[in-house]
Amino acid sequence: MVKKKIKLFGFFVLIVIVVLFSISPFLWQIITSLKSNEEIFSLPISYFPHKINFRSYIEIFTERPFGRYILNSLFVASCATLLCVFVSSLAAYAIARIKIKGGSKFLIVVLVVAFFPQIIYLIPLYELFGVLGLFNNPIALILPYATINLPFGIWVLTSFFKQIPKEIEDAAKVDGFSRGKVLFRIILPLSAPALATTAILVFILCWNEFLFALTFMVKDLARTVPVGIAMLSGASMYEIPWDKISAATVITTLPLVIITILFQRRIVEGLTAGAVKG
Amino acid sequence: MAEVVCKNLLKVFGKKAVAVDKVSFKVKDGEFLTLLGPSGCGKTTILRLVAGLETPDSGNISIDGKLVNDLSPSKRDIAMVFQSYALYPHMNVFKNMGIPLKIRKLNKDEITEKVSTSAKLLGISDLLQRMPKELSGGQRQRVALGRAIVREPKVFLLDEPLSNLDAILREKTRGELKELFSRIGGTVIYVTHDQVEAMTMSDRVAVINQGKIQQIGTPLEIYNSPKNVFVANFVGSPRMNLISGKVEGEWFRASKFSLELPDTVVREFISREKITIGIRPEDIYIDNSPLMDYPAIVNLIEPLGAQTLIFVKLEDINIRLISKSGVKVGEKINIRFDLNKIHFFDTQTSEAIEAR
Repeated sequence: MVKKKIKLFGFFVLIVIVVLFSISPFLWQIITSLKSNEEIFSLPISYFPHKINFRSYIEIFTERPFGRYILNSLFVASCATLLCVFVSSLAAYAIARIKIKGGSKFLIVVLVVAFFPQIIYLIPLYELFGVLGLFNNPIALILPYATINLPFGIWVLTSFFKQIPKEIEDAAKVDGFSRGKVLFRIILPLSAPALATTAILVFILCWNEFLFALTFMVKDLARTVPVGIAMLSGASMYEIPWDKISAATVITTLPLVIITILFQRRIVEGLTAGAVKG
Repeated sequence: MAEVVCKNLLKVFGKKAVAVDKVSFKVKDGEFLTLLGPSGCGKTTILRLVAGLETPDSGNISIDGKLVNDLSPSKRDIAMVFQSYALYPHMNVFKNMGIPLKIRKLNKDEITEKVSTSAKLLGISDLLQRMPKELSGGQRQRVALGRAIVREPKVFLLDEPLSNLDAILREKTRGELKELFSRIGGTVIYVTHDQVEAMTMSDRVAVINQGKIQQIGTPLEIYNSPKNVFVANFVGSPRMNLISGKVEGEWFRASKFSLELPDTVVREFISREKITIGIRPEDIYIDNSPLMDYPAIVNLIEPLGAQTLIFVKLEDINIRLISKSGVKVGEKINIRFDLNKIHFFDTQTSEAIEAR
């Protein structure tokens, strides 16, 4: 009995340590964002702001177009995620279920493409978007974001689709579903957990992407959040406005936290339970 | 309702695996035909060919006089019940049953009416709002059946629908299924490896092995006059005794064992040297009086309740017989064969030899 309690206590201590370790950088950002600029640099380090002030939160929206950055990021990341999940589910279904010659080889080719570093796409895309006049246009981010995340989406969804019992699809065919309806009314609803996982991760990658966003979005009002944060500057070029950067970081992280909490339910839900005898 | 005709169906998987080897059969309107065979014999593939889930390499399938080779499953007007039931896990029972109708663009009232009629027929009216994962195996099986009958298709295809149920439920459902299909008068093709299901439910049974129909006929025809050694061996439980040997004059001999053949059949055998005789366990009796008896030693007994399955050794041949009388292991008994019930097969071709 006592032994069990000690074990349980140790377990909780470990959990607390892991959680603290994981969230401490974020906590530090929150603390810093609430301090005044002087306090940030004061010694000894103050671990808790003497006077909580939300000045930096207000300033990034008033002095800088931070609201616009967030809207840009939301729009670009959402569109790219939807496009990526849609295209990869079509591709994954074809690979998983339709007998195509070389279907599995295609999967390996896709993986190889994913190995290429992002930077080798940068110059060709720069030229291309220049010719097409797409600078400062969200499409210049949506298309590449959706594309570079395709391999990931295709791999996750292919393996998930393969697990869905084939008899369910056969039953659907006999019941009168067309191929498309089988995919959209049976396979995709059953794959909700996999779709959610893919969507979250793709969204996070798009939300955080910096290189393309920095290169293709030249106008200040077209920028996304990561670039916007990098471009935050103080009164002089020698001053780094840590308070504002921290505030911006906190605000940027919030949507990700909210999305993850929202989708978490779906990921955990065992939707396939009850499909076949088990 | 309709008649199904299959002609010379051939299906080869990969390059060499012949799953269905030139199979032809006909299911009459309203008939219950069972495809019976061991696992891997091609019975499910035949069913999937009829359903349109597989494409035959050659041969024709017609339903109701119409060639359906190139029609998709949904256009063949068939319904199929799968071994795993294959319910849609994300839809409740009502939607599972109603969706085939919805796809066929029936209006809401019609769907509700038809689903509730079928649900009543199957006794699942109170389950309509449940999700498949909240149902027991037997209930899921009913929903799968409901999804099939709600459409009133021309042909029902059932792929081992009872194999996932426990023994008691299976026996109960067997009777209910038979009654259900005779009530709605459906043409049914039923696949099973369970000979009891085949014998009890079917109008006719097709015994299948290695992609070929071995014999097709009523359950009793198949039981009473198996056309070859495979059917003789596969149908009937406990299995038929098969003894191979040769004909010498009026005698059948297998090493030390010999049996005098009835006059009517002797003439047939003159030309053949090697034959196999088959006799069912219930056609062998323990009989301690007359002259024709064979002395045997009891090797093993398996009480089945009403009867006992007795394994005896007759000379050097093992024989199964069924009897009510109690014997003990090691006991010496006399057995007698019912000579009218012996089946004769040509050992080389495995085909039955008909006595003329």
